[in-house]
Amino acid sequence: MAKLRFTTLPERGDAMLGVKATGEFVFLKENSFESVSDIDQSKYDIIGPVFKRDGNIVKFMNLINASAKWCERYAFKLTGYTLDGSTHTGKLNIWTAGSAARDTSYTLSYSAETVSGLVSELNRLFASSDYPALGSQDWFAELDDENNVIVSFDYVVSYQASNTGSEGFTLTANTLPDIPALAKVLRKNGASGGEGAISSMTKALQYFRADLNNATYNPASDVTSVKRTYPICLPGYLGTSQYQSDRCALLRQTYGEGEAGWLKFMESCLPVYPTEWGTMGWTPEKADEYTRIMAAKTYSTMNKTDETMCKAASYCHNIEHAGMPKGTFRLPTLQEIAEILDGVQFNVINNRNADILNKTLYKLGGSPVSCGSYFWSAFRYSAYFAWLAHGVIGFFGGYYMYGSYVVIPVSTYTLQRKA
Amino acid sequence: MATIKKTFGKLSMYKGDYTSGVAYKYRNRVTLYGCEFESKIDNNTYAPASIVGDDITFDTVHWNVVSNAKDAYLASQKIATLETKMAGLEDGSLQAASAKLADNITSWEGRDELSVEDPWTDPVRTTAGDVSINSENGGKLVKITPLTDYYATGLVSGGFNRLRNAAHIGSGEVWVLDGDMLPALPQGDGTPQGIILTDANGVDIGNSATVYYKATAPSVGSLGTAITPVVKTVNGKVVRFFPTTAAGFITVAFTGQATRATSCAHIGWSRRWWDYVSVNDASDDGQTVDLSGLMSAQNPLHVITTDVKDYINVVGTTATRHTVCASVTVSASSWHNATGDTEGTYVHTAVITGMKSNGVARLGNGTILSVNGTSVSFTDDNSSVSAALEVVYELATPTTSTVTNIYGAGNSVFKLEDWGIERQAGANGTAEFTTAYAQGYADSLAAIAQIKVKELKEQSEDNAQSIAELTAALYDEMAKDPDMKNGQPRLLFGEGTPQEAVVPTNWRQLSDGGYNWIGRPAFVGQRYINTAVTTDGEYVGYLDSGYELQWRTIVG
Repeated sequence: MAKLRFTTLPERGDAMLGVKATGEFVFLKENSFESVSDIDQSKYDIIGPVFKRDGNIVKFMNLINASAKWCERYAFKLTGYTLDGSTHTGKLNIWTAGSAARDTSYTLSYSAETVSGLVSELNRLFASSDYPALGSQDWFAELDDENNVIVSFDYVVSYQASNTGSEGFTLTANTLPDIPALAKVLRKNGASGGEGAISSMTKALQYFRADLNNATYNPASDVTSVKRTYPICLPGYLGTSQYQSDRCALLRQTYGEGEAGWLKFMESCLPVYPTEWGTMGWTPEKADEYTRIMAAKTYSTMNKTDETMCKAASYCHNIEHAGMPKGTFRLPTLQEIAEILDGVQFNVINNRNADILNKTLYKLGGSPVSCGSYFWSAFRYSAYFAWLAHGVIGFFGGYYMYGSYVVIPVSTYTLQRKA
Repeated sequence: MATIKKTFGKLSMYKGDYTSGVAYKYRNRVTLYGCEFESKIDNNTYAPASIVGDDITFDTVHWNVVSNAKDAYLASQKIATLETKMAGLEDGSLQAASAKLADNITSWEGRDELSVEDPWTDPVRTTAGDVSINSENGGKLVKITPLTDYYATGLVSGGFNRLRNAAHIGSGEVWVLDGDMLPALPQGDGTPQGIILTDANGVDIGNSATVYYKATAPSVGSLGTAITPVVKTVNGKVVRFFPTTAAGFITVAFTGQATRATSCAHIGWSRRWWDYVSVNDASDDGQTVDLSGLMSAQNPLHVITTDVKDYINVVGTTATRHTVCASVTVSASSWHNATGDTEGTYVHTAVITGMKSNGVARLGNGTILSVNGTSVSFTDDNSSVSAALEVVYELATPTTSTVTNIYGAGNSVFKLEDWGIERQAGANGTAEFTTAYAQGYADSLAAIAQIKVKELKEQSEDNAQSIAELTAALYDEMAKDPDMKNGQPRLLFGEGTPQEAVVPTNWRQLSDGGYNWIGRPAFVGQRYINTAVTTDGEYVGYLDSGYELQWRTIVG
């Protein structure tokens, strides 16, 4: 049997264990055990691997990750109605499919005198067979703490966030109003903006090595600034693309010719961190705050009661280990996702021992971390997107909150000086 | 127009390591205990930090702490202490320790009597079956087989009952007797020397209550202290005891009742030898038992652990078991030509002339005891064998007979040597036992020493790892540049107002491992000095409501 070696200075790949008897934590060197059977689980709770240590701050993840939605309900504040007891109408123009045009409109008739009466009438109408799309999306009306009429529905289709009211109704976005959005990441090349900063260089190099027929990744006009929001595919950089003329002379002047120059250019598309700029500067404390807020959110409709609204946050928040109560784990920051994916080879190399983090996860019986997966962060990108690491392309971006993507619960531990 | 000088602020200035008694000016910087401090006042003679117990405290009234590496400093002190301690734990020292044990072992070899020092730890109750021991790198499972041999535990009524220092007598109990525990026997009557307990039907009684004790060995040849006999009726088989080498013993069963029970006391006992290694696993780490060179027992090597919390890694192989030794007698009834005997037809016996009752004879490899599977019987030279004894023995593979014809009248006796059977040098079985015993003891000590050496080496490796980690932490701290944050200098110098077109002279661009300057701060609190002006040229970074870093002029 392997001789277990513990360390006081854990590095990436070392395993964090909870001592059941005392609630303390220890760190096991990754090269001192062959499998989970080497660890006496009557004595230790296996928490998960360390992915980084900054001085005395140890960053670690839970052994098991999950797939979950960031938020599965979308809500609007409904206004424009008239409450005088007479019959009035309002129109709801909604999406039921992922096409670019609103495909369904319903005119609803009501005669309420109070907001609570209006809510009751709306729920009756939503459940009616006259408005099947409203029923299938489980539309529900309720009053908030300020007596505003809030209508919500299952968030399942892109563009639902663009539903509108008209002819007597107005819809104003009201989903997770206490979770702010910010789509701003500074790249090393000086560009600042939303999606496009590389989250996994391994994956990005794989994706952008191909000749891409997409003007976003293969410019259709001359590049006049080194500040690039998105990476550029290799053939486009070299000027050898079958889809575009040579548009990247300036970049080659700056970074060099050939693949070596392209690799330097790709490095310039990495995000700047640590930083206080934009969303990349949002701290673990902010991630913890937003995770707690989202984990606590529930909703009820005529078909459900106290359903968890933000299952990704809830999954993280409810994890417990010896010495770690609920609330220890949270969704990761953008910087933490970048640190987790830095060095991950699994997916590009189809072997769970391809990198130290996955090797430890594999030995411990944990979930893999693939650079080909999409990973949710704790932060909101826009009214209807949340920030994630894109699994196919390898950059940070926003995606619809209803997407079911990988959730890696993370936390930090401050190494203590022993007395 | 006159030139007006205006002081818009003071730059910090590094003054080196702190020197007691020196009056430092406002914004002077000094280092002490691995930390950097900036003076908050002019004419500052206060020490910025002091060591209190095992910690460092800062004077924050008079100094700002620019960078705090006190943990690394304190760790470096501990490393120095650890290194001093580690200096003694080198392989050379470990070898010296094992050499000491070797000296002790050597001192055992010359002894011809048992010491009261006992190589064994207190005996441990064992139970039948395999002791599951995981192993790696080719280690073996060590099997502890049940001791199924029985010892008489009581006295047949009548007769003398001398028993040497048995620890206990009781029904179902057995004892292990050290040293020469042979009772004094009447000479010449070939008295059987032991009894195996059976029930009234002659069926061996099970070992469900087997307990092993170690009795204190008396000096060779002396009698032990008599104990109060327990008078009981005992059924059993007479055991013909032939002490062998320390490798084991032979139970030579004599089927039938103890027919002489009424006329003399038969104190049933058996001596049992086994080799074992005592492993102290107090550190909870896997231990290794190295069997190499240890003699095998009749039963496999016994591994006794005193603190089993982990796994025992057993490596090595034991030495070959010794073959059984015995005398061979020729049938008293007739001469017999051994050549051409067919299996099971004849019984041949021979007597070793002059062999003592506790003597030992060794059969050399290849020596024939029987031809074509003919049974042989064993006795000592004082026995007039009236019945064949079943033999359980281990022998090198018999070969075809090279025995010459043996002739003689009835009751003739033949020496084993005549049959090419080698008689063990040192007919005194006691001395031989002692030597073998000492060898077993020495081998056990060597095995224990190996384990201790391994423990020490592992502890040494653990200490080395701790030192390496502390050193790495110290280097981490040392590598941190107090003048940098988020990969950029805390103070920038640019020839103009902070803007994208004016790259500060000390900004780390992407080509330097940083990132491209866009005219914005790298962090809140970063300073920028416009070196092109003499007034109103200092800026500080802040975060705006859109989470973008901006510059704000410091008004002087």
